Amino acid sequence: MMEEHTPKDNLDDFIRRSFERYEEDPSPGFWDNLSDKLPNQSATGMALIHRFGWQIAAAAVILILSSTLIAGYLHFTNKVNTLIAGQTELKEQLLHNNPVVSDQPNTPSLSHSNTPSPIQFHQNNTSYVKVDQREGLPPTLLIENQANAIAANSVNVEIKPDIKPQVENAVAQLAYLPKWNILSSQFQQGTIVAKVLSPIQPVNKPGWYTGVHTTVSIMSEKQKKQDHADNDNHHGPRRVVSSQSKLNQIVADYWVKAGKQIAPHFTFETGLGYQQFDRLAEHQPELKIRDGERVHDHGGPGGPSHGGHDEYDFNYTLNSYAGSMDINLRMAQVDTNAMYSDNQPLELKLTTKERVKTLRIPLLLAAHTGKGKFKFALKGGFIANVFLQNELEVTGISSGGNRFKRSDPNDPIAQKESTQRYGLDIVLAAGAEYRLNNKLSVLAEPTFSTSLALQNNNLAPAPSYQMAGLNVGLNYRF
Amino acid sequence: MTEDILKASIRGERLAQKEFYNFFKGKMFVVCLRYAKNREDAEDMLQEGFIKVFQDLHQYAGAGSLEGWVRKVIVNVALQHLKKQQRLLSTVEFDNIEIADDADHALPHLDEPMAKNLIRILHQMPDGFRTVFNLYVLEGYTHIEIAEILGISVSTSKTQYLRAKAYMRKMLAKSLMT
Repeated sequence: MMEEHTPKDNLDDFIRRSFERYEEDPSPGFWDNLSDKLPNQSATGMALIHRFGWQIAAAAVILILSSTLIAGYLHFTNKVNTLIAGQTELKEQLLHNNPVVSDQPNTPSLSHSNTPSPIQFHQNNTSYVKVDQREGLPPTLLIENQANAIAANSVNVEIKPDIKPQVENAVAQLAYLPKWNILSSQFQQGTIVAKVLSPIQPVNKPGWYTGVHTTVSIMSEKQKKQDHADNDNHHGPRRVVSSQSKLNQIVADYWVKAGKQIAPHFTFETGLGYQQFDRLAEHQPELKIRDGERVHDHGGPGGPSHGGHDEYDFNYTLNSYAGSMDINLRMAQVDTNAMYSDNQPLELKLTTKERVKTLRIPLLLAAHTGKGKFKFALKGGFIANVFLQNELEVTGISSGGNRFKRSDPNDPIAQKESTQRYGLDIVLAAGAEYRLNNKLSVLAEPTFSTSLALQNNNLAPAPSYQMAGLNVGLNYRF
Repeated sequence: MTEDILKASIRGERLAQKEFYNFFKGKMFVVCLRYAKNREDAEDMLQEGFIKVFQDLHQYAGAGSLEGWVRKVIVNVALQHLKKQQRLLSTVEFDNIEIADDADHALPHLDEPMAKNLIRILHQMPDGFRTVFNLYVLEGYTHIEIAEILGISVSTSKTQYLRAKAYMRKMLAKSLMT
């Protein structure tokens, strides 16, 4: 009976087969002892942070950014509403020929040389400043001209140097407003009777803009955990391997963007982008002889071959950047006299090049502030990726120990299976925009983005990647 | 083994870790039995091994087999366990080993699974023989790799493997004669 299982020259194989499916349990109560020695859940929470660090950090940044934007927006809206209400009241008073004169003892006022109180504050709302007027002219004229000037989108007007300090001092307490128009009624020389500060309109016109941008980034990649199947079991499901890019790739995006100011200080931006790059990666399938299907048998494992090379077909699925591929390799024994076991690892390392073409659609919210020709913006949002192409080419293959080599180097290796359709990135940018004139502006924005895709089309984790780069472009405002 | 159990085990959830343990305990205990001198040592190795597995589980990259990764951790722990006891330094010459009469209890019992009988024979081997035999035959390492892992020469690895094999063959042959 024993002889059937103990071929004299193949003892190793017999022992391996004997252990193949054999299992034995430790003594009862073993788990209870083990459980007592395992660290508690809070201690392993560090492992969670370690694993999901990027996502946690990104979520925190988004939360802080969103909260800041919303709080800022509410604060600004509240202030503007208050000021508009005050302006309306002021206008009504003036239209009823009821000049605004500060007669409150605690109301701040500015003095002007040789003229009493050239700038006075509205008695009920110190946020409003009305410059004094020469006697004889009704103040309603000033208001009408101010309204006209606003409608014509007047830009800043220099105020007279002699009263500038007083005016600036008066408006200093209103510094939270984004931009002030100092409007002037457009009378002939000598008839300008007053200057009025208006807190209503910021200089920047709300409106549409479009632009062409380019982003050059460095992409680094981190492999996520694979949705595990028991791949080591060669009787089990097909082996699934993920490729890993060791190098940081240089990636270029080309954008046509359009934006619209949706509120003071806030802009929505979208557009269309195109990205193309070559992803160089490698993977190690960790195959053993037993994972292959023997196609030419000249001896097999455990003994030297007789008269030819043993050949095996190895098949596995490769998860790549934006899809999955079937890999089929035929490997042949190099030294026909060399012994090898069924458990012999092939130690394969394959290098691949993927040409990835992606259509990208950004959805961004920008919060901006600025003075003069400069505007500073903080942007955040998402980029939807539509993968157009993901062509994979195996550029190199090596086998450790040189026991096996590819049977025919000209055989096709990669067979395209499917390309993932969609992906999603989260993006943050902070930058500056400089106005060349009323229409054109240039911008430069350091950007950072990270992928949110969890699984590819093969239900395996898509590679997690981060990109850091610089976005430059030209915007045209309508 | 589902992804949920794996993730929950990484988070340290005890029920998931128990599921994880139940999934692998049978196979991994056999690994420990193969390396250990006896069942008690094997349980010590298994306990240390699972503590290490749960401690490092978040480092599992997913590129290969989870069972392969767990087995690698268990084997490493088993080797460290043996090194601690300085058993791997034992390179007893096989020529000097006689199969003692009291080793008859190691002979195969035909009514038991062959793996159980082989474990019994492995337990009778010197630690050096047993370790090299395990690494070469059952883990698939080359002698060069074994030499690096154990800090011995390649020729020592080959010698110990051949002697262990001869010992195994001798024990199996003796069982056939009795």
